[in-house]
Amino acid sequence: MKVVGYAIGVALVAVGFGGLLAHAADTQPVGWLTWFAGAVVVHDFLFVPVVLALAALVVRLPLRYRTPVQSAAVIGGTITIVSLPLVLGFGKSAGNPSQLPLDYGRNLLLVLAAIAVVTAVVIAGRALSARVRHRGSAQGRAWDRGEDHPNRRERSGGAVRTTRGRDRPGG
Amino acid sequence: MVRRVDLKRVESIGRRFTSRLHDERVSSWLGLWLGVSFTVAFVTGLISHFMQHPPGWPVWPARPVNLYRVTQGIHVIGGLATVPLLLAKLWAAYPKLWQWPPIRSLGHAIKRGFIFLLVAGSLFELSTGILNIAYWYPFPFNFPAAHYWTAYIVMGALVIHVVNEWATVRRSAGSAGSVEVAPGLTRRGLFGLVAGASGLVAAVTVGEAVSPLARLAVLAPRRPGVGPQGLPVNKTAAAALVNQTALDPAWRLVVTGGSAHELSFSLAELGGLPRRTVQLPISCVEGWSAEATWTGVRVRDVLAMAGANRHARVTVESLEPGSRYRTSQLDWAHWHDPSTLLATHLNGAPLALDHGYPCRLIAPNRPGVAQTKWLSRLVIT
Repeated sequence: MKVVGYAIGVALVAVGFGGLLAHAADTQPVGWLTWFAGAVVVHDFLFVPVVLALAALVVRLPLRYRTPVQSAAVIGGTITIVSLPLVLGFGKSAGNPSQLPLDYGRNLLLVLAAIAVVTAVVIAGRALSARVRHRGSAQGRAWDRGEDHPNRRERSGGAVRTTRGRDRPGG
Repeated sequence: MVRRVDLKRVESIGRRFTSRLHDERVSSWLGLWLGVSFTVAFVTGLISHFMQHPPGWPVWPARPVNLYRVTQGIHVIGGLATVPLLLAKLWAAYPKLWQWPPIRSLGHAIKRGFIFLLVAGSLFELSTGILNIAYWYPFPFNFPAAHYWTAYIVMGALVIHVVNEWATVRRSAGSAGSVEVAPGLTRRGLFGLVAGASGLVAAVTVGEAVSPLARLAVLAPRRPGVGPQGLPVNKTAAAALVNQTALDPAWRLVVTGGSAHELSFSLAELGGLPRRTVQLPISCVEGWSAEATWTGVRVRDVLAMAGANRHARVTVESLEPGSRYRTSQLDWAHWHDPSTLLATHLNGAPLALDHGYPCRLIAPNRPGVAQTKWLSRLVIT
């Protein structure tokens, strides 16, 4: 059964490379390979390290800010990546105003501002409900000050470990 | 000595990703969704490819009218919405990049080779797709050719990856669960986050295909309603180099190759034939689509006058001097359809030059590039 899957997979990959080479005038194999491998290099050795560095900053935030800020960063970052070519506007055409007709820089800022507002509301709402729930308790006051819940996790060095369940190193 | 220390450092990188974001269940679920998403993109992409490069089979139907509009909308908007999913999946799998030793056996090396093809191909397809719909071509290759052939590499590597990982997925994908996978973030929360990011990307773009939501499409490259006569234009008359020929008062539409003698119509003669008005969308390969009202002569009436065989295939030719999309094929299912017109009017007024004046083809369930503008000849074969 596995063999059938491997055969189909290898055949599809072969069709892809075969087509790329057979239509070399259109596919420009050297340029294609640069983009194909370059995408991995940019993602693995530039994009992810930058995200890791930002994530390390966010993890330092007090717990009650952390999740909303993480969420806002992920959603805002994604929308920025996807719309960046529109914002840069290299595809605008003087002769064709219906192509990229909007002010994408302004629109992206509006979307990011909306995300920021929602995030602020969530943080304020959490702070409020935490205060109501834990009013008077020492634990609640610690939470309000933004300290981690003492039972939930311990921190060691830069890496954060859960105390429950297995830790699964990658690989 | 120094070398050994360096190796140890590399080895330790993989171990430092202790967050359970990188756990099997997260990877499995993201992988399942990504597999579904890529398969949908592959199938809709094949439909679009064979619509534009007809191999003679299978015959693509003329109905439902909006079928291509839907498949291509799913291909493009769905592709954009896949970006957060792919980034989350690669994030979850990132520690495996640093596994030590990097290669354990020949089998392991081959497996990693196919993973490289899968990752590179996925990033390639999404990034070139995003650039293409923004009309930005910083790459040396022709987009449709490179995007098309690379899709087979991605699908092949995906099939192999699924075969390799299926046992793991079955073991671990039982339920999303509410376990914390990172400080303050549960597994379910992570999935919600990916869904939220995908949903937002779709929300600010889908209006370029779903006209009632047009005003929401603040980050889409097109806005239905914006353009000459309220319809976006893909290729202008100036870009197609037809400014002179399209406005020439001596213009005639020639219908040739039928059993009857060759026919030729001036714009006034064309206007004297029985006219129809239809509602049909322009459904662009770049994902946007917009509906309009077209008026003109039915293609099947003209072809009947020319004595075309019932199963004839028609090549529709433009005044454009040279372009990949100068001509399009009209198969019998399309030219027999009563809504397929040689249109001279759009939304009640003569066609704007950029919309194909003096006469263009408009047919149901067909990509915009095959709605040939600035017609010069219909060749029956």
